Amino acid sequence: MKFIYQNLMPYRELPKDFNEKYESVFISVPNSLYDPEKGHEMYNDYIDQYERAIDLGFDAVSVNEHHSNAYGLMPSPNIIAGTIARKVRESDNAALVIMGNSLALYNPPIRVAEEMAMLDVITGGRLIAGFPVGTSMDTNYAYGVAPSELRPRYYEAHDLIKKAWNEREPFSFNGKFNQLRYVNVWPRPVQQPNPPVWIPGGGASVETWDFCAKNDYQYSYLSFYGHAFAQDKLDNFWKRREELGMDQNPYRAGFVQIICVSETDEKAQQEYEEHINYFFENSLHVSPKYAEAPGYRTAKSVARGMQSQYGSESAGSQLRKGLNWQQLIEKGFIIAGSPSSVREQLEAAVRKLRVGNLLVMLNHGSMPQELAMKNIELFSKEVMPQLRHIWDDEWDVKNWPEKLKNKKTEPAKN
Amino acid sequence: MSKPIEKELSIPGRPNVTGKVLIAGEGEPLVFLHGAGGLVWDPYLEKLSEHYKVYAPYHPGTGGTIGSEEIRDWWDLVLYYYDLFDELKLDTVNVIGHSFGGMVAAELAATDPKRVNQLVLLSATGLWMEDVPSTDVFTLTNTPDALFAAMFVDPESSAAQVMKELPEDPDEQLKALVENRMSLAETSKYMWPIPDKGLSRRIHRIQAETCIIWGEKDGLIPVDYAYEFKRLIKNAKQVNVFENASHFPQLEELDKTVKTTRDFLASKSAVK
Repeated sequence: MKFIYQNLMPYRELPKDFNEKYESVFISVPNSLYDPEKGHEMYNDYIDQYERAIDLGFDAVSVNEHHSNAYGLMPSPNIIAGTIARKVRESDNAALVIMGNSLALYNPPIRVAEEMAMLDVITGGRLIAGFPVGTSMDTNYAYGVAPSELRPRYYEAHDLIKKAWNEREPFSFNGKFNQLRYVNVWPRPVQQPNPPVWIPGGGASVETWDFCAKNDYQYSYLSFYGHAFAQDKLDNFWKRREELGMDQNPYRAGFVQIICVSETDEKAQQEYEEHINYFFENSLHVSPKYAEAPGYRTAKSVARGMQSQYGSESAGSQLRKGLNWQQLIEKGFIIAGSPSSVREQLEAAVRKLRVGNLLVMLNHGSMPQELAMKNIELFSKEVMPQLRHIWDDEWDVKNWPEKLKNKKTEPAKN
Repeated sequence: MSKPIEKELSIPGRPNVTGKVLIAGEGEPLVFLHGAGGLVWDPYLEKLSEHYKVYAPYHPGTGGTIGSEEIRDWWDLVLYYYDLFDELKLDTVNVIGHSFGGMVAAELAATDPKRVNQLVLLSATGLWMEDVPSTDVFTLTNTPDALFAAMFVDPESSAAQVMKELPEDPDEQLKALVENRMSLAETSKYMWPIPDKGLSRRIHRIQAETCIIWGEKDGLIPVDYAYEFKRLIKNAKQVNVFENASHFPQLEELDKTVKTTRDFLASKSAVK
């Protein structure tokens, strides 16, 4: 089992009445609400969290990309990756996951090939390259890409980046959206022919799974609605792999989970409840205006979504509404409680979902730094070591940097 | 309501592109280009088809047409329509465009002025005024109530019903909903993120006599744009603003819009 520390880098001091007063946490949220002085502290606190997670023996740290919003302040994930790259390099076995760059937004897309290669070289071959399409809010509204062009641009950028990494001579690229007379990426990555590629997605679409299968990529189902909501999506993922004659290795899949650990179940509720509520009520307060532009999904996916009431993220949001702390745990939106409660819930979840890569979210919404650090500490020491063995006796690690694949993790440092 | 015939058209030299046009009526040819929501054979087209031979093409990628991925940009789209007109033997023709269709119609008249004889712009987009931005209609498409409130003065009216109507059969209904969504997707390709693709730099080339029809209460494209089109098109004769209409004057003020359209088209014929 691989544990990956993921911080969304939220703005943790939105006004108390935010979700009543403002229509959306994305796109129209005015940046007058952003206090750069506080932001300075937040960035540095969050980078400290990443560094601590590395010291405490996480298998990887992960950064992601969002634009024009108040819950994910990494418009350039590669900058944050750059600030922690040296720490990753000095660690025993940590990998650096960029989860990732929304390929259609980079002009020209070889920028992604260059920056990721830089990070792979700096870390000495520890990079995992995530290639998300990106949300409709990020891509269509914040970055102005026409929805119907988003996926064609994404696939073209993907082909260009792969080729730029794999070719040893300059070449020309005459695409629909990108024309480059001379493609010649310096530096080239340490990992050959290229770093492991992960495809994060929130749509659970067959097209994406087939794309992963065809290219030997890992698929990560990224939803904020927890393991129970993810079950049918990952069941379908494994079913699809079986249909395609591909293996059922849990390391082919990743999943993100919100987790809160404290000394006891009661204390977990006391400490974390308000911050979890902040997260669900403010961080996920996306106006339907920007939730999904027409054309963001293919006609096929739209038809499927209309047929299934549990299809989309907005369905998750509807299911979550009005649930109290205990119900959030019972219905699998969050995993919370004492170390033993968390271990029990988490082991059951990862086995049911059959995932080898867990993106662990431990910093939620308005959480103060001390509490986030405590959560990271308890998770690393009281949960992670006990669950690490899962899958190891049955499956080889896949889609992971070669030189880190078989490293046994040492006990956490203090 | 009589049913128009559906005609598929292949474009010579473009084996992967198939267009589709609804055709009804007899008389002088008249082309109608639909808006972002998709082509609906509505009472306005029905009434026009009593006097003209109406050609209403589907925008590429909608209504079962094929090959929209090969029509990559605005320039491709303009040439696609000239190709389509060629196939329909419409050398010079009168063109009505509504909303997004108006943006296309104006461009067809500007790029090759001899292809468009008379031009009717109904609540057209294609220009951008910084101080009166048109509504980003795509942000309303997840909330039908808000969308209809922006498109119609009375979203409960029978006029609005024309655009709301869905088939009863569940499969057909799903198909219609997906079709509407994909029509928004295919047209948004040319309007994203701002519906200004340079028409203002070419609009001076329009020779066609132009009739501009607008709803005073247009909730998507403010009536200021009617006057801006009038200002920029040298042969724009009239601006007809209907007080009790929003974005669909041809449905909300059906009789007035039909009469204005017919009177305008007749005026030129009389001169000839």
